[in-house]
Amino acid sequence: MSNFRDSMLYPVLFMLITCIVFVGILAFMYRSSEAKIEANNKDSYQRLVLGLFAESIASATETKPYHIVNDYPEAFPSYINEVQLPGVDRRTFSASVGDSLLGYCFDIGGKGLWGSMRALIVLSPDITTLDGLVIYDQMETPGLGGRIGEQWFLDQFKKIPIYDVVNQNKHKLVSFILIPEGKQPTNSTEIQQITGATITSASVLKMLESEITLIIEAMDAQPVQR
Amino acid sequence: MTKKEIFITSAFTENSIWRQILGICSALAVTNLMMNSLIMGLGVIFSLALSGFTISLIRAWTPRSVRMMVQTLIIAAYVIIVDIFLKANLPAISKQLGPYVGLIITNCILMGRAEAFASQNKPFDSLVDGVGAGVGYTFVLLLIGFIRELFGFGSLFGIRVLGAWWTPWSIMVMAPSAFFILAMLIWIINVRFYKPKV
Repeated sequence: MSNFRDSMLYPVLFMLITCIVFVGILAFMYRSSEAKIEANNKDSYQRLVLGLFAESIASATETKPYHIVNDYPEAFPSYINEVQLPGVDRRTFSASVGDSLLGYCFDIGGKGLWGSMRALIVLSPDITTLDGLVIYDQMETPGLGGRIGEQWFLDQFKKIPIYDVVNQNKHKLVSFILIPEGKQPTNSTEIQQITGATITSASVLKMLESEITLIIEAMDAQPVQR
Repeated sequence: MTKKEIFITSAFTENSIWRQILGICSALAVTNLMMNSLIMGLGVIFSLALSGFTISLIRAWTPRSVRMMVQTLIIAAYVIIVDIFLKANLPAISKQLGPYVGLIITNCILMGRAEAFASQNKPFDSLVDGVGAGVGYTFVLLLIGFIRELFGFGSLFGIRVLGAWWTPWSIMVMAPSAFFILAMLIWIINVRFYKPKV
């Protein structure tokens, strides 16, 4: 036995067995939890979509937004539908109460400082206003760029006309401008950046601008034609 | 050494950060918010304790030539187990932990304690040593986080404690502040509590 432990084969076999044992444990754990994890992910994604429409659904149904979010299992199928808009290759949801369309939610993506990020945006039914943003997947530095998920940052992207209203140009898409964190914006296109995360803040704006442009081009939705 | 002595030694007397200068990367990265520091600390305590216990349990059969690969494998496996468990059973906490779980694997303290203690001591002593080292690490993170969040945001654990009159110090939110706060902390503790080596 002592000779075998001194041989070249022993470390190789030991490493192999250890790998098989631990990878086996991990595979078993993952397989037994896979369905639960997928259900949790689906649940959390649908809650985000519903949350983005909560205010408009609440005002249309004369209730409170938190009732809509708390009533997620019934509210989601009642008000939200996954739809396919002609030409748009992004995952899309629409929200409606009765016959009244409240808006569209698009699943968009872009590049951050350290990797890709995924977000959901809500556009008004006539595709002229950005009504909400939530970033649900990102790889930015915790405490710095990772703060793009904080509510105060996301709240800046509510009820923003997506055409250049500042220069009264209805054909040009809005260009967002970053201002220092804590400084009061003078108009809706000024977005407070995150201190110490300028590149990540700019990446969010770039993602929004390019994805909204893509969606509008795909839908051929100029406001003058509406 | 008794279990209590092991705990005190690894948590304070031979603290991983101010005595061994290990785990500095994460101490710099996550300490601008106290909540981040606490979450990271809890993850490290759990992973340190269990990986130390397991490494110690199989130490008699582990060949020296592959011991570090085995230690890395065990540490990574525990961190992934924690991640899977949280994703399946506590999705809200898993979402909050986010990238921290992955960062734990790269924390030098885990390899440091595995190599310096767990590979040479009994399993339960290694478990206590892991908890102690994790508690000492978390204590330093929270201390730095306290200073950075208070002056950088005017809040503690996200609760605003300084009024609207307070002008946040932007430098406290950024990485350079962690460098000089940590350096001053190491300097003060070493001068105050440790005799210089002659």
